[in-house]
Amino acid sequence: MTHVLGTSLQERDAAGLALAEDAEPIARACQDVARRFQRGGRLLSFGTGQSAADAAHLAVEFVHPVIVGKRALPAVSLANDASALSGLAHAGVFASQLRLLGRAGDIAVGITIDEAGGEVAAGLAAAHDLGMMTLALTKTGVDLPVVDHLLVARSRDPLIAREIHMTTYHVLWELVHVFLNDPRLTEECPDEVCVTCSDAAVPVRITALRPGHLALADTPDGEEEISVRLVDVRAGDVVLVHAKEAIAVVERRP
Amino acid sequence: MTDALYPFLSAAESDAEPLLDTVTRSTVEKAREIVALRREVLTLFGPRIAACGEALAEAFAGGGRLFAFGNGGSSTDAQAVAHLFLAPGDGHRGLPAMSLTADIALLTALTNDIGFDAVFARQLAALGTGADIAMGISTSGGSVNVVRGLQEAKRLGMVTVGLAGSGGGQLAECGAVDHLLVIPSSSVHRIQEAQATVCHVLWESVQRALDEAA
Repeated sequence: MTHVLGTSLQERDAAGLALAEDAEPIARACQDVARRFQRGGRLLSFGTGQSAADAAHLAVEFVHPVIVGKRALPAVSLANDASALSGLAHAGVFASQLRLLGRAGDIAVGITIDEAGGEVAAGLAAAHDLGMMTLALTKTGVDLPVVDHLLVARSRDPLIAREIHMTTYHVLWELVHVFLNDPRLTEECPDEVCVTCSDAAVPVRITALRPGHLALADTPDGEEEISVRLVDVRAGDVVLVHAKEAIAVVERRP
Repeated sequence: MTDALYPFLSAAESDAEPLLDTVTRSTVEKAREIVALRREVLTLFGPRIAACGEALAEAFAGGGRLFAFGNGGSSTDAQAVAHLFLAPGDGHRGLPAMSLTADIALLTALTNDIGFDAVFARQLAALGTGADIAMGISTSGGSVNVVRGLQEAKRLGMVTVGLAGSGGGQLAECGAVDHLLVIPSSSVHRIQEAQATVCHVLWESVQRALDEAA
Protein backbone atom coordinates (compact mmCIF):
# COMPACT_ATOMS: atom_id res chain seq x y z
CA MET A 1 0.00 0.00 0.00
CA THR A 2 2.70 2.47 0.98
CA HIS A 3 4.64 1.81 -2.21
CA VAL A 4 1.58 2.10 -4.45
CA LEU A 5 0.45 5.27 -2.74
CA GLY A 6 3.98 6.66 -3.07
CA THR A 7 4.05 6.01 -6.82
CA SER A 8 0.64 7.52 -7.40
CA LEU A 9 1.63 10.53 -5.27
CA GLN A 10 4.64 11.21 -7.47
CA GLU A 11 2.55 10.93 -10.62
CA ARG A 12 -0.11 13.20 -9.13
CA ASP A 13 2.49 15.77 -8.07
CA ALA A 14 4.04 15.82 -11.54
CA ALA A 15 0.67 16.26 -13.28
CA GLY A 16 -0.41 18.91 -10.77
CA LEU A 17 2.76 20.94 -11.17
CA ALA A 18 2.51 20.62 -14.96
CA LEU A 19 -0.89 22.30 -14.64
CA ALA A 20 0.88 25.33 -13.16
CA GLU A 21 3.02 25.46 -16.33
CA ASP A 22 -0.18 25.73 -18.36
CA ALA A 23 -1.45 28.71 -16.36
CA GLU A 24 -1.12 31.10 -19.28
CA PRO A 25 -3.05 29.06 -21.88
CA ILE A 26 -5.70 28.49 -19.19
CA ALA A 27 -5.94 32.24 -18.55
CA ARG A 28 -6.22 32.91 -22.31
CA ALA A 29 -9.01 30.35 -22.62
CA CYS A 30 -10.86 31.99 -19.71
CA GLN A 31 -10.56 35.41 -21.31
CA ASP A 32 -11.99 34.04 -24.52
CA VAL A 33 -14.85 32.30 -22.67
CA ALA A 34 -15.62 35.53 -20.77
CA ARG A 35 -15.81 37.47 -24.06
CA ARG A 36 -18.27 34.93 -25.45
CA PHE A 37 -20.47 35.10 -22.36
CA GLN A 38 -20.39 38.87 -22.53
CA ARG A 39 -21.68 38.80 -26.09
CA GLY A 40 -24.56 36.52 -25.14
CA GLY A 41 -22.97 33.15 -25.78
CA ARG A 42 -23.86 30.06 -23.80
CA LEU A 43 -21.59 27.26 -22.63
CA LEU A 44 -22.41 23.71 -23.73
CA SER A 45 -20.36 20.98 -22.01
CA PHE A 46 -20.08 17.29 -22.79
CA GLY A 47 -18.10 14.18 -21.91
CA THR A 48 -18.50 10.42 -21.59
CA GLY A 49 -18.16 8.06 -18.63
CA GLN A 50 -16.74 9.86 -15.61
CA SER A 51 -16.24 12.97 -17.73
CA ALA A 52 -20.02 13.14 -18.22
CA ALA A 53 -20.18 13.87 -14.49
CA ASP A 54 -17.53 16.56 -14.94
CA ALA A 55 -19.49 18.13 -17.80
CA ALA A 56 -22.46 18.42 -15.41
CA HIS A 57 -20.20 19.73 -12.64
CA LEU A 58 -18.82 22.46 -14.90
CA ALA A 59 -22.33 23.53 -15.93
CA VAL A 60 -23.60 23.75 -12.34
CA GLU A 61 -20.60 25.92 -11.39
CA PHE A 62 -21.70 28.52 -13.93
CA VAL A 63 -25.46 28.36 -13.43
CA HIS A 64 -25.42 28.18 -9.62
CA PRO A 65 -22.17 29.76 -8.42
CA VAL A 66 -20.72 28.51 -5.15
CA ILE A 67 -19.77 32.07 -4.21
CA VAL A 68 -22.80 34.16 -3.26
CA GLY A 69 -23.15 37.26 -5.40
CA LYS A 70 -21.49 35.88 -8.53
CA ARG A 71 -23.86 36.16 -11.46
CA ALA A 72 -25.40 33.05 -12.99
CA LEU A 73 -24.14 32.37 -16.50
CA PRO A 74 -25.88 30.20 -19.10
CA ALA A 75 -24.32 26.72 -19.20
CA VAL A 76 -25.86 23.36 -20.06
CA SER A 77 -24.41 19.86 -19.92
CA LEU A 78 -25.32 17.75 -22.95
CA ALA A 79 -24.54 14.56 -21.00
CA ASN A 80 -27.49 14.58 -18.58
CA ASP A 81 -30.52 13.55 -20.55
CA ALA A 82 -30.87 9.76 -20.72
CA SER A 83 -33.39 10.00 -23.56
CA ALA A 84 -31.12 12.18 -25.68
CA LEU A 85 -28.04 10.07 -24.96
CA SER A 86 -29.71 6.78 -25.81
CA GLY A 87 -31.97 8.10 -28.56
CA LEU A 88 -29.34 10.01 -30.54
CA ALA A 89 -26.64 7.33 -30.35
CA HIS A 90 -26.98 6.62 -34.08
CA ALA A 91 -26.30 10.25 -35.03
CA GLY A 92 -23.51 11.17 -32.62
CA VAL A 93 -24.89 12.03 -29.19
CA PHE A 94 -23.10 15.34 -28.72
CA ALA A 95 -22.64 16.38 -32.35
CA SER A 96 -26.35 16.07 -33.04
CA GLN A 97 -27.35 17.94 -29.87
CA LEU A 98 -24.84 20.70 -30.68
CA ARG A 99 -26.26 21.10 -34.19
CA LEU A 100 -29.77 21.46 -32.73
CA LEU A 101 -29.06 23.49 -29.60
CA GLY A 102 -25.83 25.36 -30.41
CA ARG A 103 -25.32 28.79 -31.99
CA ALA A 104 -22.26 30.32 -33.59
CA GLY A 105 -21.51 32.54 -30.58
CA ASP A 106 -21.61 29.70 -28.06
CA ILE A 107 -18.81 27.94 -26.20
CA ALA A 108 -18.33 24.17 -26.59
CA VAL A 109 -16.38 22.41 -23.83
CA GLY A 110 -15.52 18.76 -24.49
CA ILE A 111 -13.98 16.71 -21.69
CA THR A 112 -12.32 13.32 -22.16
CA ILE A 113 -9.98 10.98 -20.30
CA ASP A 114 -10.50 8.30 -22.93
CA GLU A 115 -7.73 7.99 -25.51
CA ALA A 116 -10.26 7.25 -28.21
CA GLY A 117 -11.84 10.71 -28.23
CA GLY A 118 -14.97 9.24 -29.91
CA GLU A 119 -18.17 11.16 -29.25
CA VAL A 120 -16.32 14.06 -27.64
CA ALA A 121 -14.07 14.50 -30.68
CA ALA A 122 -17.10 14.37 -32.97
CA GLY A 123 -18.88 16.95 -30.80
CA LEU A 124 -15.92 19.34 -30.91
CA ALA A 125 -15.68 18.98 -34.70
CA ALA A 126 -19.42 19.73 -35.07
CA ALA A 127 -19.10 22.75 -32.75
CA HIS A 128 -16.16 24.06 -34.77
CA ASP A 129 -18.17 23.72 -38.00
CA LEU A 130 -20.97 25.74 -36.40
CA GLY A 131 -18.53 28.56 -35.60
CA MET A 132 -18.60 27.97 -31.86
CA MET A 133 -15.56 28.54 -29.69
CA THR A 134 -14.11 25.13 -28.83
CA LEU A 135 -12.29 24.19 -25.63
CA ALA A 136 -11.09 20.66 -24.86
CA LEU A 137 -9.90 19.15 -21.58
CA THR A 138 -7.96 15.99 -22.46
CA LYS A 139 -4.99 13.95 -21.33
CA THR A 140 -1.69 12.83 -22.77
CA GLY A 141 -2.20 10.52 -25.75
CA VAL A 142 -5.66 11.72 -26.83
CA ASP A 143 -6.04 12.61 -30.49
CA LEU A 144 -8.61 15.35 -31.11
CA PRO A 145 -9.63 17.61 -33.98
CA VAL A 146 -8.22 21.13 -33.99
CA VAL A 147 -9.79 23.20 -31.20
CA ASP A 148 -9.40 26.84 -30.18
CA HIS A 149 -8.12 26.00 -26.69
CA LEU A 150 -6.57 22.63 -25.90
CA LEU A 151 -5.77 21.98 -22.23
CA VAL A 152 -4.00 18.66 -21.75
CA ALA A 153 -3.64 17.01 -18.33
CA ARG A 154 -0.08 15.72 -18.34
CA SER A 155 -0.74 12.13 -17.36
CA ARG A 156 -1.70 8.96 -19.18
CA ASP A 157 -3.54 7.77 -16.07
CA PRO A 158 -7.23 8.57 -16.65
CA LEU A 159 -7.96 9.04 -12.94
CA ILE A 160 -5.09 11.46 -12.39
CA ALA A 161 -6.10 13.29 -15.59
CA ARG A 162 -9.64 13.61 -14.24
CA GLU A 163 -8.34 15.19 -11.03
CA ILE A 164 -6.41 17.75 -13.11
CA HIS A 165 -9.57 18.45 -15.13
CA MET A 166 -11.48 19.27 -11.94
CA THR A 167 -8.93 21.87 -10.88
CA THR A 168 -8.85 23.22 -14.44
CA TYR A 169 -12.62 23.76 -14.67
CA HIS A 170 -12.84 25.20 -11.17
CA VAL A 171 -10.15 27.72 -12.13
CA LEU A 172 -11.94 28.29 -15.46
CA TRP A 173 -15.15 29.28 -13.69
CA GLU A 174 -13.32 31.56 -11.27
CA LEU A 175 -11.20 33.34 -13.88
CA VAL A 176 -14.12 33.87 -16.24
CA HIS A 177 -15.72 35.93 -13.48
CA VAL A 178 -12.49 37.84 -12.90
CA PHE A 179 -12.37 38.75 -16.60
CA LEU A 180 -16.08 39.63 -16.66
CA ASN A 181 -15.45 42.07 -13.79
CA ASP A 182 -12.60 43.74 -15.63
CA PRO A 183 -13.55 47.00 -17.35
CA ARG A 184 -10.97 46.34 -20.06
CA LEU A 185 -13.03 43.40 -21.28
CA THR A 186 -16.01 45.69 -21.80
CA GLU A 187 -14.08 48.44 -23.58
CA GLU A 188 -14.63 46.84 -26.91
CA CYS A 189 -18.24 46.38 -27.91
CA PRO A 190 -17.71 44.84 -31.32
CA ASP A 191 -20.87 42.97 -32.18
CA GLU A 192 -23.97 44.81 -31.16
CA VAL A 193 -24.23 47.94 -29.12
CA CYS A 194 -25.20 47.11 -25.56
CA VAL A 195 -27.87 48.96 -23.59
CA THR A 196 -25.65 51.25 -21.56
CA CYS A 197 -23.34 52.36 -24.40
CA SER A 198 -26.16 53.23 -26.77
CA ASP A 199 -26.49 56.77 -28.04
CA ALA A 200 -29.74 57.45 -26.17
CA ALA A 201 -29.82 58.18 -22.45
CA VAL A 202 -31.52 55.33 -20.60
CA PRO A 203 -32.44 54.91 -16.91
CA VAL A 204 -30.80 51.97 -15.14
CA ARG A 205 -30.59 50.84 -11.52
CA ILE A 206 -27.15 50.55 -9.90
CA THR A 207 -26.68 47.09 -8.39
CA ALA A 208 -23.16 47.50 -7.01
CA LEU A 209 -20.31 50.00 -6.91
CA ARG A 210 -16.89 48.99 -8.22
CA PRO A 211 -13.42 50.48 -7.63
CA GLY A 212 -12.30 53.22 -10.04
CA HIS A 213 -15.65 55.09 -10.18
CA LEU A 214 -17.34 52.16 -11.88
CA ALA A 215 -20.63 50.47 -11.08
CA LEU A 216 -22.72 47.52 -12.19
CA ALA A 217 -26.13 48.42 -13.56
CA ASP A 218 -29.17 46.26 -14.14
CA THR A 219 -30.32 46.50 -17.75
CA PRO A 220 -32.91 44.63 -19.81
CA ASP A 221 -29.97 42.78 -21.42
CA GLY A 222 -28.39 41.78 -18.10
CA GLU A 223 -25.81 43.39 -15.87
CA GLU A 224 -23.46 45.93 -17.46
CA GLU A 225 -20.58 47.99 -16.15
CA ILE A 226 -20.83 51.78 -16.37
CA SER A 227 -18.85 54.79 -15.17
CA VAL A 228 -20.28 56.82 -12.24
CA ARG A 229 -17.46 59.37 -12.12
CA LEU A 230 -19.83 62.31 -12.70
CA VAL A 231 -22.48 61.45 -10.10
CA ASP A 232 -22.66 60.60 -6.40
CA VAL A 233 -24.57 57.32 -6.19
CA ARG A 234 -25.18 54.30 -4.00
CA ALA A 235 -26.34 50.80 -4.90
CA GLY A 236 -30.09 50.89 -5.50
CA ASP A 237 -30.15 54.35 -7.08
CA VAL A 238 -31.47 54.82 -10.62
CA VAL A 239 -29.25 56.84 -12.96
CA LEU A 240 -29.56 58.14 -16.47
CA VAL A 241 -26.74 56.62 -18.49
CA HIS A 242 -25.46 57.81 -21.84
CA ALA A 243 -22.59 56.16 -23.71
CA LYS A 244 -21.55 54.18 -20.61
CA GLU A 245 -21.43 57.30 -18.41
CA ALA A 246 -24.03 57.98 -15.69
CA ILE A 247 -25.01 61.59 -16.25
CA ALA A 248 -27.76 62.17 -13.65
CA VAL A 249 -29.44 60.52 -10.67
CA VAL A 250 -33.15 60.14 -11.37
CA GLU A 251 -34.17 58.18 -8.26
CA ARG A 252 -32.54 57.73 -4.87
CA ARG A 253 -32.81 54.42 -3.04
CA PRO A 254 -35.45 54.86 -0.31
CA MET B 1 -16.04 40.45 -0.52
CA THR B 2 -14.45 40.73 -3.94
CA ASP B 3 -11.14 41.81 -2.41
CA ALA B 4 -11.09 38.83 -0.07
CA LEU B 5 -11.74 36.38 -2.90
CA TYR B 6 -9.62 37.98 -5.54
CA PRO B 7 -6.93 40.05 -3.79
CA PHE B 8 -5.11 40.32 -7.12
CA LEU B 9 -8.02 42.19 -8.72
CA SER B 10 -7.48 45.49 -6.93
CA ALA B 11 -3.72 44.99 -7.11
CA ALA B 12 -4.04 44.72 -10.89
CA GLU B 13 -5.86 48.01 -11.02
CA SER B 14 -3.29 49.85 -8.98
CA ASP B 15 -0.06 48.64 -10.51
CA ALA B 16 -1.44 48.35 -14.03
CA GLU B 17 -0.03 44.85 -14.55
CA PRO B 18 -1.89 43.23 -17.42
CA LEU B 19 -4.80 41.21 -16.05
CA LEU B 20 -3.68 38.16 -18.00
CA ASP B 21 -0.41 38.12 -16.05
CA THR B 22 -2.13 38.42 -12.66
CA VAL B 23 -4.64 35.65 -13.34
CA THR B 24 -1.84 33.46 -14.71
CA ARG B 25 0.00 33.94 -11.42
CA SER B 26 -3.11 33.11 -9.38
CA THR B 27 -3.62 29.92 -11.43
CA VAL B 28 -0.06 28.82 -10.64
CA GLU B 29 -0.80 29.40 -6.94
CA LYS B 30 -4.00 27.34 -7.09
CA ALA B 31 -2.26 24.47 -8.88
CA ARG B 32 0.42 24.43 -6.16
CA GLU B 33 -2.24 24.63 -3.45
CA ILE B 34 -4.07 21.50 -4.65
CA VAL B 35 -0.79 19.59 -5.14
CA ALA B 36 0.08 20.30 -1.49
CA LEU B 37 -3.43 19.48 -0.23
CA ARG B 38 -3.56 16.21 -2.18
CA ARG B 39 -0.15 15.20 -0.78
CA GLU B 40 -1.30 16.05 2.75
CA VAL B 41 -4.56 14.12 2.37
CA LEU B 42 -2.97 10.98 0.93
CA THR B 43 -0.21 10.99 3.54
CA LEU B 44 -2.69 11.61 6.35
CA PHE B 45 -5.44 9.26 5.19
CA GLY B 46 -3.43 6.53 3.39
CA PRO B 47 -3.97 3.86 6.08
CA ARG B 48 -7.63 4.86 6.59
CA ILE B 49 -8.37 4.71 2.87
CA ALA B 50 -6.76 1.25 2.78
CA ALA B 51 -8.89 0.09 5.75
CA CYS B 52 -12.02 1.49 4.11
CA GLY B 53 -11.05 -0.27 0.85
CA GLU B 54 -10.81 -3.58 2.66
CA ALA B 55 -14.22 -3.12 4.28
CA LEU B 56 -15.75 -2.25 0.89
CA ALA B 57 -14.04 -5.22 -0.79
CA GLU B 58 -15.50 -7.48 1.88
CA ALA B 59 -18.98 -6.05 1.32
CA PHE B 60 -18.70 -6.44 -2.48
CA ALA B 61 -17.46 -10.01 -2.03
CA GLY B 62 -20.57 -10.66 0.05
CA GLY B 63 -22.86 -9.45 -2.73
CA GLY B 64 -23.09 -5.82 -1.60
CA ARG B 65 -23.76 -2.86 -3.88
CA LEU B 66 -22.48 0.71 -3.62
CA PHE B 67 -24.95 3.63 -3.44
CA ALA B 68 -23.29 7.06 -3.79
CA PHE B 69 -25.01 10.41 -3.24
CA GLY B 70 -24.47 14.15 -2.78
CA ASN B 71 -25.83 17.53 -3.89
CA GLY B 72 -24.71 19.81 -6.73
CA GLY B 73 -21.03 19.29 -7.59
CA SER B 74 -20.96 16.44 -5.05
CA SER B 75 -23.79 14.71 -6.93
CA THR B 76 -21.56 14.67 -10.01
CA ASP B 77 -18.74 13.26 -7.89
CA ALA B 78 -21.12 10.55 -6.64
CA GLN B 79 -22.06 9.83 -10.26
CA ALA B 80 -18.38 9.64 -11.26
CA VAL B 81 -17.37 7.32 -8.42
CA ALA B 82 -20.34 5.01 -9.10
CA HIS B 83 -19.36 4.89 -12.78
CA LEU B 84 -15.73 4.16 -11.89
CA PHE B 85 -16.76 1.16 -9.76
CA LEU B 86 -19.29 -0.06 -12.33
CA ALA B 87 -17.31 0.34 -15.54
CA PRO B 88 -13.61 0.85 -14.82
CA GLY B 89 -12.37 -0.55 -18.14
CA ASP B 90 -8.78 -1.71 -18.77
CA GLY B 91 -9.35 -5.23 -17.46
CA HIS B 92 -10.43 -4.15 -14.00
CA ARG B 93 -13.42 -5.82 -12.40
CA GLY B 94 -16.76 -4.04 -12.65
CA LEU B 95 -18.69 -3.86 -9.39
CA PRO B 96 -22.36 -3.09 -8.70
CA ALA B 97 -22.60 0.64 -8.02
CA MET B 98 -25.12 3.41 -8.69
CA SER B 99 -25.62 7.05 -7.81
CA LEU B 100 -28.87 8.14 -6.20
CA THR B 101 -29.27 11.29 -8.32
CA ALA B 102 -29.55 9.65 -11.74
CA ASP B 103 -33.27 8.89 -11.71
CA ILE B 104 -35.14 12.16 -12.23
CA ALA B 105 -38.56 10.54 -11.78
CA LEU B 106 -37.58 9.30 -8.32
CA LEU B 107 -35.84 12.53 -7.33
CA THR B 108 -38.76 14.75 -8.30
CA ALA B 109 -41.38 12.39 -6.86
CA LEU B 110 -39.64 12.14 -3.49
CA THR B 111 -38.90 15.87 -3.35
CA ASN B 112 -42.40 16.85 -4.35
CA ASP B 113 -44.22 14.39 -2.10
CA ILE B 114 -41.99 14.20 0.99
CA GLY B 115 -39.21 16.79 0.82
CA PHE B 116 -35.65 17.10 -0.29
CA ASP B 117 -34.25 16.07 3.09
CA ALA B 118 -35.62 12.54 2.57
CA VAL B 119 -34.45 12.11 -1.00
CA PHE B 120 -31.55 9.73 -0.29
CA ALA B 121 -32.82 8.07 2.91
CA ARG B 122 -36.05 7.02 1.22
CA GLN B 123 -34.22 5.51 -1.78
CA LEU B 124 -31.85 3.61 0.49
CA ALA B 125 -34.77 2.30 2.54
CA ALA B 126 -36.36 0.98 -0.65
CA LEU B 127 -33.28 -0.24 -2.53
CA GLY B 128 -30.70 -1.07 0.12
CA THR B 129 -30.01 -4.00 2.41
CA GLY B 130 -27.61 -4.54 5.30
CA ALA B 131 -25.10 -6.07 2.87
CA ASP B 132 -24.69 -2.83 0.89
CA ILE B 133 -22.44 0.23 1.04
CA ALA B 134 -23.55 3.88 1.29
CA MET B 135 -21.20 6.70 0.33
CA GLY B 136 -22.35 10.24 1.14
CA ILE B 137 -20.43 13.25 -0.18
CA SER B 138 -20.79 16.79 1.18
CA THR B 139 -18.17 19.55 1.03
CA SER B 140 -19.63 21.28 4.08
CA GLY B 141 -20.60 18.10 5.93
CA GLY B 142 -23.89 19.86 6.62
CA SER B 143 -26.18 18.58 3.86
CA VAL B 144 -29.24 17.32 5.74
CA ASN B 145 -30.28 14.84 3.04
CA VAL B 146 -26.79 13.31 2.94
CA VAL B 147 -26.69 12.98 6.74
CA ARG B 148 -30.19 11.42 6.78
CA GLY B 149 -29.17 9.03 4.01
CA LEU B 150 -26.17 7.83 5.99
CA GLN B 151 -28.32 7.49 9.13
CA GLU B 152 -30.80 5.32 7.25
CA ALA B 153 -27.95 3.25 5.78
CA LYS B 154 -26.49 2.73 9.25
CA ARG B 155 -29.90 1.69 10.56
CA LEU B 156 -30.09 -0.91 7.79
CA GLY B 157 -26.64 -2.22 8.76
CA MET B 158 -24.83 -1.01 5.63
CA VAL B 159 -21.13 -0.05 5.55
CA THR B 160 -21.19 3.77 5.60
CA VAL B 161 -18.57 6.08 4.08
CA GLY B 162 -18.67 9.86 4.49
CA LEU B 163 -16.57 12.39 2.56
CA ALA B 164 -16.62 15.94 3.87
CA GLY B 165 -14.56 19.11 4.22
CA SER B 166 -14.60 22.22 6.41
CA GLY B 167 -14.25 20.33 9.70
CA GLY B 168 -16.79 17.61 8.85
CA GLY B 169 -19.94 19.33 10.16
CA GLN B 170 -22.97 17.16 10.88
CA LEU B 171 -21.41 14.27 8.99
CA ALA B 172 -18.71 14.07 11.65
CA GLU B 173 -21.18 14.45 14.53
CA CYS B 174 -24.07 12.19 13.48
CA GLY B 175 -22.43 8.94 14.59
CA ALA B 176 -23.66 7.12 11.48
CA VAL B 177 -20.41 7.11 9.50
CA ASP B 178 -18.09 4.09 9.74
CA HIS B 179 -15.39 5.57 7.51
CA LEU B 180 -15.17 9.35 7.71
CA LEU B 181 -12.67 11.30 5.61
CA VAL B 182 -12.62 15.06 6.19
CA ILE B 183 -10.51 17.10 3.79
CA PRO B 184 -8.59 19.78 5.75
CA SER B 185 -9.56 22.78 3.60
CA SER B 186 -12.26 25.43 3.60
CA SER B 187 -12.29 25.96 -0.19
CA VAL B 188 -15.24 24.11 -1.76
CA HIS B 189 -13.29 23.67 -4.99
CA ARG B 190 -10.10 22.32 -3.40
CA ILE B 191 -12.20 19.99 -1.17
CA GLN B 192 -13.96 18.55 -4.22
CA GLU B 193 -10.66 18.07 -6.06
CA ALA B 194 -9.09 16.27 -3.07
CA GLN B 195 -12.26 14.17 -2.60
CA ALA B 196 -11.95 12.98 -6.21
CA THR B 197 -8.42 11.80 -5.42
CA VAL B 198 -9.68 10.02 -2.28
CA CYS B 199 -12.38 8.26 -4.35
CA HIS B 200 -9.84 7.20 -6.97
CA VAL B 201 -7.36 5.84 -4.43
CA LEU B 202 -10.19 4.13 -2.55
CA TRP B 203 -11.29 2.42 -5.78
CA GLU B 204 -7.70 1.26 -6.39
CA SER B 205 -7.52 -0.20 -2.89
CA VAL B 206 -10.84 -2.04 -3.35
CA GLN B 207 -9.58 -3.55 -6.62
CA ARG B 208 -6.33 -4.57 -4.94
CA ALA B 209 -8.07 -6.11 -1.92
CA LEU B 210 -10.39 -8.12 -4.20
CA ASP B 211 -7.40 -9.26 -6.31
CA GLU B 212 -5.58 -10.42 -3.20
CA ALA B 213 -8.63 -12.29 -1.91
CA ALA B 214 -9.22 -14.01 -5.27
